[in-house]
Amino acid sequence: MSWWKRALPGDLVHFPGSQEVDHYLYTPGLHGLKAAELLKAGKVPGMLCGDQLILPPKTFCPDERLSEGEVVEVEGPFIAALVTVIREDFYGRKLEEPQVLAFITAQGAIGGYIGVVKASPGDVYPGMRVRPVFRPEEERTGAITDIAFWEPVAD
Amino acid sequence: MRVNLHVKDRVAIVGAGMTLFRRRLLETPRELAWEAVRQALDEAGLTLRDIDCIVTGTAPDAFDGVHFNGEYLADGAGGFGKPVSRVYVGGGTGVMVPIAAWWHAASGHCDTVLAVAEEKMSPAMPHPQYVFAYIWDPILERPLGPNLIWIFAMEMRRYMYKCGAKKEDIALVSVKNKGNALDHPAAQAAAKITVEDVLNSELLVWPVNRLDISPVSDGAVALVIAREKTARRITDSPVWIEGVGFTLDNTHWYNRELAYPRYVQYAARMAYRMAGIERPWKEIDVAEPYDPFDYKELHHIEGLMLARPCEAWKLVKEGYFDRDGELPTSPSGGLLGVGNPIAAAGLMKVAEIFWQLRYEAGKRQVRKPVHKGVAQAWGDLMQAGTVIVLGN
Repeated sequence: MSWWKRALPGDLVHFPGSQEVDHYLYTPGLHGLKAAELLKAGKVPGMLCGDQLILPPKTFCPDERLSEGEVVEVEGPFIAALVTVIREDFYGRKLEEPQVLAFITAQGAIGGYIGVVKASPGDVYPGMRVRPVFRPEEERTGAITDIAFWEPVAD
Repeated sequence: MRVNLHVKDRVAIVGAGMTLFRRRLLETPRELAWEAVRQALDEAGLTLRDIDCIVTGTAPDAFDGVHFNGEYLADGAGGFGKPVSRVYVGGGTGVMVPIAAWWHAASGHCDTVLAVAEEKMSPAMPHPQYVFAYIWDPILERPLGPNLIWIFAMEMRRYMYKCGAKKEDIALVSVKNKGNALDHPAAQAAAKITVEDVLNSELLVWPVNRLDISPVSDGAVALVIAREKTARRITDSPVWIEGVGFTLDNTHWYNRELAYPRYVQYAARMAYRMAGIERPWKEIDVAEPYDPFDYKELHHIEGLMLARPCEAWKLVKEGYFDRDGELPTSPSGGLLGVGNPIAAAGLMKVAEIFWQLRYEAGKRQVRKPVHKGVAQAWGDLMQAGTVIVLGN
């Protein structure tokens, strides 16, 4: 083995690479279309497998027949089940404002969504109730990012 | 003579299912896996409760655009709360999946195994062919900008030169396979075409024309595999996995004799030895050789020892490999006709032999009685050969 420190662009002995697949176009899937419609309408999508609510929706249920689920609106209440605080970005730069990130589930549901909670780090705790705040209607695209953020709900 | 393998049990295929093969399907990768698995389980009359282990296979993650694609689609394949593994040998994956499923069962570790192969090539933009730009050596090859069609054009030219085959002789494979696919309900590129249609189609890289090549596809296939005792309980007509073989040839394609696929021959010898097959050209009744290009079917027929080197193209002209011929090849319609979602395409070939040996292939059923069949795939840096021999 050897230790090779030189890997600077412009070096004679340097082999650059580039990614020629420059982007991807993912299809929404069989039930993704309905989930997108719900998001665009300012509603949180979920899936019913019998009486069990599952987040997020993904067409098939985790049962022995892999039966087909039904995409439904989830009205809540929503709970920030797991919480963390981001203080640096991907490049190690300190964020001006720490960002609260949570795993958000609905009462009685299996699974959930990742979401940013607009609150100061000291005010959030696992188990706190939150609600979604959607982007203005004209900005929504039917994507998960239509939920601009989650905000705490006073108990 | 059969090789004395120390396997705990015989293993059979007891159910198969597949999605449509299309250029761009609405389903996500995990939904494609789900559809194929549900069909296979239904055909076997089983539910996930009856399945012990899952083996999945997909080719490069860069097609689907999801890293750890095997894990991503696993829940659609029923892969949760059970042992799940993924195998990957590029284009050879589709046949490696049931080989891996076989050793899961033959070892006695799993009584029943789901073998699932999926590929969704359509998300990669501007075209999935660009994914292949990353299979080359990054220092000595990639800076020269090779793509797969260039290489296969050279290989096809080499086969033509060494074997004396003409373009019109090779085009007959495309005519045969696309015609066979007219009877396949999942086919993407079925067509009644003539040799002239192939020769007059867009010339891509001489001597390769558009209709010499299989299409870009999305799709998934699943098999249910079981140890003997369970297989006999599930069905009266299990199809036995009698031989498996797999080989890697040397990494650099230019260090090989391109006119003959040694990687297939070595894998085939391994599988035939295990199956006790000494004269494959006499003992194999139906074959599904891997046909992403028309000349590759000829290549692989010879590698599988179903014809002498350089003689497959002559036999195609005589109708020897037609569905009602002496030794039908690609009765499904193959990759040229049914489509080529890489890993799923190889497993589709195994599923076709399964249906042929159960006499369940409908309009595609070959005319002759069938007892033994072989399916084969090819891939990685064009040096992987995977072969499976089935019997009823």
